[in-house]
Amino acid sequence: MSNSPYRGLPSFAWWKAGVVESNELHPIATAKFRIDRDTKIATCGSCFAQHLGPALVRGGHSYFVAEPAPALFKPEEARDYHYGIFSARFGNVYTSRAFCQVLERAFGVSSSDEPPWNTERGRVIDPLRPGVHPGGFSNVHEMLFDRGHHEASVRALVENLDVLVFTLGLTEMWERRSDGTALPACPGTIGGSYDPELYAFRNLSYEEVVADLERAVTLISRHNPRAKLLLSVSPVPLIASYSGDHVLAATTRSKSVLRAAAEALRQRHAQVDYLPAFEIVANPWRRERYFADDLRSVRPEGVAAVMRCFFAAFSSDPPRPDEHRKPDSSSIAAREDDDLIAVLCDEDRLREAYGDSA
Amino acid sequence: MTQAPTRIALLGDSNVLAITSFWSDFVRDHEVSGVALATKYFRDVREESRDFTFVRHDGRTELHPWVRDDLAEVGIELAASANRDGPWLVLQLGAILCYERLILNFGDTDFTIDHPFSGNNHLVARLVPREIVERRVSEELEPTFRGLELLAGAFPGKLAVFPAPPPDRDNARLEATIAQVTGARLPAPPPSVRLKVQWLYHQLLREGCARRGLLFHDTWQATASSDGFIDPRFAFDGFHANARYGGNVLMAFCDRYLGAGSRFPYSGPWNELGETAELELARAIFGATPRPAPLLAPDRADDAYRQIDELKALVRLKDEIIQRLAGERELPPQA
Repeated sequence: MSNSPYRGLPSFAWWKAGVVESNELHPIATAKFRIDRDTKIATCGSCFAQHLGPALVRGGHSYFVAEPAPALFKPEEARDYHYGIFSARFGNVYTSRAFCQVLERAFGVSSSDEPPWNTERGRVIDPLRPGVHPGGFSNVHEMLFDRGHHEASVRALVENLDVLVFTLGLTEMWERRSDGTALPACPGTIGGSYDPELYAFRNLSYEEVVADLERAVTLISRHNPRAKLLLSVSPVPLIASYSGDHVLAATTRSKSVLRAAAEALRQRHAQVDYLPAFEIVANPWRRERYFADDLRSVRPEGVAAVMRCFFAAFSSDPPRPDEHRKPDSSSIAAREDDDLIAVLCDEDRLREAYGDSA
Repeated sequence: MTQAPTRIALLGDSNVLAITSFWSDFVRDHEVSGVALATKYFRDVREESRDFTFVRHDGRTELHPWVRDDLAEVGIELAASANRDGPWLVLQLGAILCYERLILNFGDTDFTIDHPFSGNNHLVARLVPREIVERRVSEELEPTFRGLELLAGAFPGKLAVFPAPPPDRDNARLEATIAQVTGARLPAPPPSVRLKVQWLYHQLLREGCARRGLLFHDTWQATASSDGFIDPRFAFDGFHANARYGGNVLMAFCDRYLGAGSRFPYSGPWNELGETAELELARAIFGATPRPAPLLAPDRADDAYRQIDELKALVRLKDEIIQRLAGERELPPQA
């Protein structure tokens, strides 16, 4: 047999060995960096990323939370107010544009903003974090005060983290026409009211996502040169698409763009790597069934599979098979995952607002 | 014709001292008994407890039949009234409980709540929704209400609850008082935080009393400025109200419920009133208090004595207060 570049390829490079016959899917060839149990790992991103913090704690690793709940909160209350769900009280950050905006606002690079949204009950919703304060703030002053504390926490987070896991969720977004401010939720869903004169739909292109992520990497590296960025793509499909396409086609488009952009960043930057959560959970070839009956919610088994892959690839001290560290009962990570793990998704407000047809 | 004396017993925290600090004649006329520094122990009254020791202001002790108590739980300083048959038992609740258990314990990172006194937030404060603070305050009030229900069921006379005075806006004054009591320089939470929490505590105490059919003699609005903090005329050391405050709220109470206002206003110098009452009080509570060791489990005794020491420190502070009261010679405002 003649010589061939395929000769001697490792087993993971072959479909049969890497996918069909593997006991468990670990689609990472070589991790760019290693973590240990002291590595400060931060999370941010879409709904799916909410699973990561508790899973890190259960696996005995350091989940870095820079904006903890004040002591007056009980754990279940803290969760309702988005404390501890991510490393700061971002709310869900679905898009690369929103991610970039969070960082740029925190470090004063951007002043993108949107006037507060008023509720029918006279409360005030922060349009940049519409889901973090149930019922809304009592007034604009307190909303801005709380946002100021949050942005200070984001600065502290970026300056002190070791690894930031950012999970990209969507390419579809809404923005202010006047200055392009990214809105995490469409006006009229969680709060505010939709006005086509003020707001526009945007479906981020590959180039735009890459550009957003490049700005984010630059900013993070400037303030924390040792920081690593671990990108992933949420396997959770869109709950609805405004693109005009079928929601399945729109989902495929979004995930494809995000996956390709993440790969571009991974190839360009030594400090950026990729966690294949999408490939593990959403691939159609393996027989695992990681989605719940709604075909969106990820079952605990799916989260566990992603985390096993994460630990196997990146951790120099992965949890033992029998290790299931019981988290501090005061932590949201204490929530057991025997049942479907509940996540707080702004996207779900669409379904709540428009019923079963959504 | 000699009018039958009105018997009033007062329980409460150290702010009750403000009320009693000018009571000398009133006590004599109405057989008013002594005072206990009791709020934080009162909340621990248990239904299954047994006897209750009262320390009379003349130093004698007796077991009181209408309130049962486990001394190990309640603390020996709870009881102060000698008037077991007295028609009124007045409790002032809120200041110490609210400050020590809520503002300090939960507020060490600083926080603020929204309505009704929004704004004026401290730079390092955290925003905590009113709903969350309200839950914590309600949890703190639960044992207090259990104790009140126990008292209301056991006491043959009338029961009334006073709120604590509104907080003082002056943090420096409060911190100086804390330093004198504790010997440590501790930062006080922002005034807006203290005001909001104490106001919330006040509201929930009032509502809880109403639901239980307990008389709540609301003195807050009458003693607060328009900004919600204590009227400067009633402020004293940052934590306690002054004797003028005590005169104001007591006269209002007597006028409304006892018809005693016409007999009340004391025309003598305030410093004499305060000094006499304070010294009597100190002697009553600490001079002749029996050692509780036989009634306390060994591991509880140390804690009880530590608490007594803390209270004694407070009384030492009161000595200084008395000196400062000497400078106050204004008559109390008419109720």
